[in-house]
Parts: sequence; C-alpha cells; structure tokens
Amino acid sequence: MTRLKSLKTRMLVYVGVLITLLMVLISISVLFQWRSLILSNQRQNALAVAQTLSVSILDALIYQESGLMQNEGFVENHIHNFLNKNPQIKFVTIHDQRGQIMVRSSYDEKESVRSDWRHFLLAGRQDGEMQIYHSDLHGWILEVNLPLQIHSRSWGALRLGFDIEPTRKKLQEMFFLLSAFTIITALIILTVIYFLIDRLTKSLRQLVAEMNRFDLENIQPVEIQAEEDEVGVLLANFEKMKQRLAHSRKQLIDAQRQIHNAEKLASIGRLASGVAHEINNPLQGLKSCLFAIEKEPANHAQTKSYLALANEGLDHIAVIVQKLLGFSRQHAKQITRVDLNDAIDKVLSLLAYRLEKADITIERKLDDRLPPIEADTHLIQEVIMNLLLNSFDSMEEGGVLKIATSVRANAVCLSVSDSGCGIPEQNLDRIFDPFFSTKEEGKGTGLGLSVALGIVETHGGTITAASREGEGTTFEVILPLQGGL
Amino acid sequence: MKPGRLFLALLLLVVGILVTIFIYRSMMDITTPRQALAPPTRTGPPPSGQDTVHVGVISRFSPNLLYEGYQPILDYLNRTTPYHFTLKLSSSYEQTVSQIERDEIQAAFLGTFLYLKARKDHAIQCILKPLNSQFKPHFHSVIVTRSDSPIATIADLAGKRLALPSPLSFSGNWVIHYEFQKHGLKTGDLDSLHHFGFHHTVIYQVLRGNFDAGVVKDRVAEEFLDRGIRILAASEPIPGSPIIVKKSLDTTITRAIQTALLQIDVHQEEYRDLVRSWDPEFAFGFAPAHDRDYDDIEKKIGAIEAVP
Ligand SMILES: Nc1ncnc2c1ncn2[C@@H]1O[C@H](COP(=O)(O)OP(=O)(O)OP(=O)(O)O)[C@@H](O)[C@H]1O
Ligand SMILES: [Mg+2]
Repeated sequence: MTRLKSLKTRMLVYVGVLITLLMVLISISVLFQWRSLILSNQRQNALAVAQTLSVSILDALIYQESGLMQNEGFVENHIHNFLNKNPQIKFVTIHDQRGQIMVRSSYDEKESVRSDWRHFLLAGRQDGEMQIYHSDLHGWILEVNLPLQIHSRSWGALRLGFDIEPTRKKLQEMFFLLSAFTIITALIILTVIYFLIDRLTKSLRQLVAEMNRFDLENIQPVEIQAEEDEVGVLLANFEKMKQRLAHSRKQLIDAQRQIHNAEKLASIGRLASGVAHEINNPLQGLKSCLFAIEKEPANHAQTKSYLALANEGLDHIAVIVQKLLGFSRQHAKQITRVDLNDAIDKVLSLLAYRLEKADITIERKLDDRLPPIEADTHLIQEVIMNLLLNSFDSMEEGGVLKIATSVRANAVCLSVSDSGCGIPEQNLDRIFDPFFSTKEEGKGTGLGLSVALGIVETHGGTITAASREGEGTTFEVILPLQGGL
Repeated sequence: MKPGRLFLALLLLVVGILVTIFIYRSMMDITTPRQALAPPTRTGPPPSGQDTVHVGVISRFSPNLLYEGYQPILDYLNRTTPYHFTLKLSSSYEQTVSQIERDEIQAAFLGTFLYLKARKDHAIQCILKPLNSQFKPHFHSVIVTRSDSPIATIADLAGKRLALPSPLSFSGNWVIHYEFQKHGLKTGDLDSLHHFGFHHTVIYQVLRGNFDAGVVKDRVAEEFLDRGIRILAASEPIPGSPIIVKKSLDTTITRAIQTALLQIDVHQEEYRDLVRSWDPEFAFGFAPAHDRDYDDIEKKIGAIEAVP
C-alpha cells in the first residue's frame, strides 16, 4: 500500500512541480512583457505631451524674440494652465541656452539644476532624453528633457517631471493579480491531477488489496469491477492464476491422499511379511516337534523335551506379536522427546531375525552425547526401519552395515551405510519417487523411501543418498532438534 | 512525511518566496540609469565678431516656420563657408528694411516687391534667386479659393471678401493693382479687403470661410492643394524672391555665399537630402541674380503703383 501511495505522490510531485514551474515561467515572462509595454507606453505618452508643450513654448519664445508678442508672462500662464489640465505632471522648468532656469512651475521647490545641462543642450538631442527615478520631493518621476531647438538654433530646454506613481501602482496590481492567478491555476491543475492519478491508481490499489486478502485455503472470485485498461487485464490474469492454483491444489491433495493410502498398504505388507518371517521359524520348530511327538507318542521323555521346545517357540511368537503390536499401535503424529540412539536399537532388535539369517555384520557408532529431538518416535522408527530394510535387501550375500549418529548445529545426523549392490546413477534421482522400485514383483512396493522422505520433511529435516554401483550406499538423515513442532 | 521531505518542502517554499520577492522588486524598480551625455561636440556660436554675418528674413511666414525653413540654409552655409551666419527675424517687412539701414543685418531674404522698394533707398545688391519646381528662377502669385467655392473667374470676385498678405509683398499688390484692372474691377467692388502678416494666414482665413478668396505665393498654395484649396488664377512668372547683400559686405563673403548655394544640385542624392528640411521655396536650388533681372517687373509695378 505504501509503495502505491508513494507512486502516486511521486507522480503528483513531478507533474505538479513541472506544471507549476511552467506556469511561473509563463507568468514571469507575461509580467515583464506587460511591464515593458506599460512603461514604453508611458514613455511615449510623456514624450508626446512634452513635445506638444515644447512646440507651443518654442513658438512663444520665438514670437517674443521677434517682437511679435510682448513678454507678458505668456509662457508662465501657459505652463500654469498646462499643469492644471495635466495633474500627472509634477513640475516643468524651462532652461535657457546656458542651462539657467528661465521659468519654473513652482518657485518653492528645491530641485537642483543638473550640472550637465549645458552638455545636454549642446549635444542637440532632438529626440530628447528620458529618465525614471525616485525623488524625495515628488516621489517616482519620469523626467523628460527636450531641447527647445530648431535645427542648430537653440532656445534652451524644457524639463518635465511626470508622476509615474500610478503606473507603479498599476504594475503592483498586475503583479498581485498575476501571482494570484498563477497560484489558483496551479492549485486547480494540481487538484485535477490528484484526482486523475487517484482514479488511475484506484484499481491498482484494489488489486493489491485483493492479493493481500488472497488465502490459499479459501479461494474466492475477485469482487473488483475490472476496468478495460492494463490493470483490468492484470486483474483477469490474477483471477485465472487463482483458479489454476486452486485446481493444482486439489490435485495435490488427491495425490497426497493416494500416497497416504499406499503408505498404509505398504506398512501392512511389510508388517505381513515381517510377521510371516518372524513367525515362520518358530512355527517350523513347532511343526517338527509335533511331528516327532506324533511319531513316538509313548516316548514321554522325548515328548516332554519337545513340548518344552514348542513352548519356547510359542513364547517367541508371543514376544514378536507383542513387539509388532507396540510398533504399530500409534498412527497419529505424537511429538515426544526422542533419543535417536534408542530408536535405532529398538528397530535393530525388531529386525534381529533378519540379521541372523543374512550374513551381515553391524557396526554401530552411536554418539552418546546426542541430544533428544522433538519428534514422533514411531515415525522416526519407521524411517530407520525403511533404511535398514533397503540395506539388508541390497546385501543378499552378506556385508557390513554401518549405523552412525552425530551431533550437528541444532540438529542430529543419522547415517546408514551398507556395502550392498549400490544404486545406478541414473536411478539416484528417482529412488524417492513413490512406487519406484527395482525389486521383483511382490517384494518391493517402492514406497519405503518415499514414506521416509515424507516423514523426515514433516520433521523439518533432510534425507540424502550417495551411492556407487557395486560398492555400497550411504543414506544420511538430518533432523533438527525442534523439527517436530 | 519523512523529516528529509519536510525539509525539502520547506526549502522549496523559502526559495519560492525569495524568488517572488526578487521578481517583485526587480519589477517595481523602474529606475532607468541617467544617460551619460556626450561632451559638447561643437562649441557654441563664436562671440559675435567680424566674421559673423547676420541674415534677415522678411516676415512672410510665422517666425517658427521661418526658423524651420531658413535655419538649415544658414547651417549649410556655416558648414561650407568659413563664416558664421545667424538668422535675424523681424516682426514686419518694414522692420527688415530698417534692419538693413541700421546695419543689424548684412544679408537678407527679401520679397521681390520689397527688394524693388528697398533698392531705391539702400545700397543693396541682389546675388541669388531661387529656382521653382520647374527649375526656373521665378515664381507666381496665385488667387486661391476653397475647393468648394463657386467662384470661377476673377470677375466673380466682385462683392466677395478678399484676403491678402503684406501690402509690401508682391502677392499683396498684384491682384488688386494689376488683375483687377485687366478685368475692370475696383477694390471698391469688393465686399471687404484685408492684409495679413503671413501668407499662411491668408490660406487659413480662406479655409475658415472668413474670406472668399486670397492671394499667396504659389509655393504656399501648393502646400494646401489637397487640403481644400483650389487655384483660381496665376500671375505671369515673377523673378524669384532675391537673396541680397549690402554692397558694403566683403565681396569674398558674398562670393562664398554664392558658391555654396549655387553648387546645390538637387538631382544629386546628397543635395536632395540636404534641402529636404529647407523652405520649399529654396528646395530646388538657386540661380545667380543681378539687379537688372528685376528691372522689367519694376516697370510693371511702377505702372501698378501709378494706379490710384
Ligand atoms: N541401500 C540400498 N542399496 C541399493 N539400492 C537401494 C538401497 N535403498 C534403496 N535402493 C533402491 O531404491 C529403490 C526404492 O526403495 P524403496 O525403499 O522406496 O522401495 P523398495 O525397497 O523397493 O520397496 P519397499 O521398501 O516398499 O518394500 C529400491 O527398489 C532399490 O532399487
Ligand atoms: Mg524399501
């Protein structure tokens, strides 16, 4: 969920920052475009006004000079009227050719005369000169300096101060307006993007939630309304995958049940053959005793000794039956503290009759310091039983069977080594498969190792085989101390 | 939110605010640097000494028009001759004559009529006359009316109001003393007759409808041909308004003026640019002039003046 959220935030941040930056850039360029437009407009305006004034003042000066008009304050009057009609003009001064002030709009002002006036006049700037500055007396001023000049003939210069404060106010208003516009627009765009991304990631988030809810034990169809986008396809595939999973899970359970049944059959078969073997010998003894007694019923002394023998045989059979009963009594997994060495001894005693029959030497190398493990005794015994039976089967002409235990980190190790026929390399991969057997019909079910593997794995352990054909085989079982829990 | 992210967001915010403040300040600072002014390239007019020639102009136009049209001619002379020429305006035709008398001016742009009057009493000498648009050294006086006026011939002027320029100008005399005679009219036949200071004033009076017709120099009338003025009749060619010098003026100066102005050939690009700002009367160059060129017209005017 957090990853998705961060995807959303990241998209939002990237797109948002990009758009905001773009908006800001556009706003700034618009702002400065407007600014230069307004200012140049203001300048043109000021220049036009100044030029109009300069023409009439120049005319007046020339008329006065040529005696066509008496100097009766016409220029002063004109400027006075002009200022009254143009409140945006703060001051007007007229300078003579030497730069001295001839006429000024107000006499109490302390405006200093520019020191470079003379230069300005003589430079003969027909187009005038303009400057914007802030003065303590008038505030923000756009000053226009125009020569009063016809060709090379100069009568002085005109200096006008325009109040440019309203323009600044306008610029300020524009700035705030555009700033507000930028912020609001950016916010609107961000909100729209937010909801857009939210919509886009909604189905994705739903899918993730669905995946989180997914339970192998209880597979249910997805409830999300799949949209016709990539996420929708994903959802559909997820649904299919779930169904496949459910299907294979069912198959797995079936197979497990089959194996379980086969295992049952196998242990029954093994038990049956074990019982047959165990009981056959004493039964043969009993039969020959009964035969001898039948031949000479009068020979009491002989009969007595034969009966004693028969009794011994029956006792043996009773012991065997009792052991078998003890071995197969429990089926459910019952975890207790198990001493692996004891379990080995128990199985060995159970198999004593086969050991005697075949010419097999047992070499026990059991570690005394072996810690007990948490496991089911009967299941562990079954594993040992299976391994030993396989080894016996591989050593029909006799051999050496080595059984060893050792301590590992948090685990114990059991190794069963025989000097039997060995396993061909190509079979080594398959020996743990259920029903894989090389033994003749009726002798081997091919379930022994498969059952052993199942048991070891339920105890959290491992079982491995190493073999060389004709030389022998070694099985190694590692069981964790707490594996049964 | 992780503290790193928070810090980043705060940093961005601070940077944004700083940038905004910076932009605001640079936007509100509209100060422009005071332009560095070039030091004077030319020193002012030399203190009035012997080399300064004062040039008078009769007040045929308003003084600012005279400065506009005549100052560049003097600027040209100042550039091309070693002498210094300054313009001296007057308030009337007579004042220019008295300026000659008092030696306030040593040269002058006179009108043909005034020149003929003045040469009788003063030692003046005609040196140049301007060429007209056909490159002939004369001009015409013309009678103008408003374009929408019903007046078709000079005879129609009977009972009408007539505006004239100065009585000392040729145009101010020609119609009433010469054309009227030809058409059997007398000044008394007019509703009214008035002399104005400048040729342009005559045109403006006609345009305003204060007068039904007026008489001006052709060069002035031509300015208004597409602005509501129509030419009713024109005089015969009159020798152009002369440029005169006092006979006492140094002949080298006189010759310098003549050489400078005669070399103007408006067929050449450089001179066309030069005369663009000059008074249109002088925009086609000059011809040399002699006092005798005006003898013919003097006789005619003598006849005119003989008429009561
Ligand atoms: N110690 C061994 N030596 C040689 N071959 C072995 C040994 N252990 C197992 N195998 C081979 O692996 C096969 C499978 O063994 P597994 O115990 O699963 O079945 P099985 O012994 O044939 O039958 P079951 O144990 O059910 O009676 C055997 O048939 C045999 O070929
Ligand atoms: Mg087996």
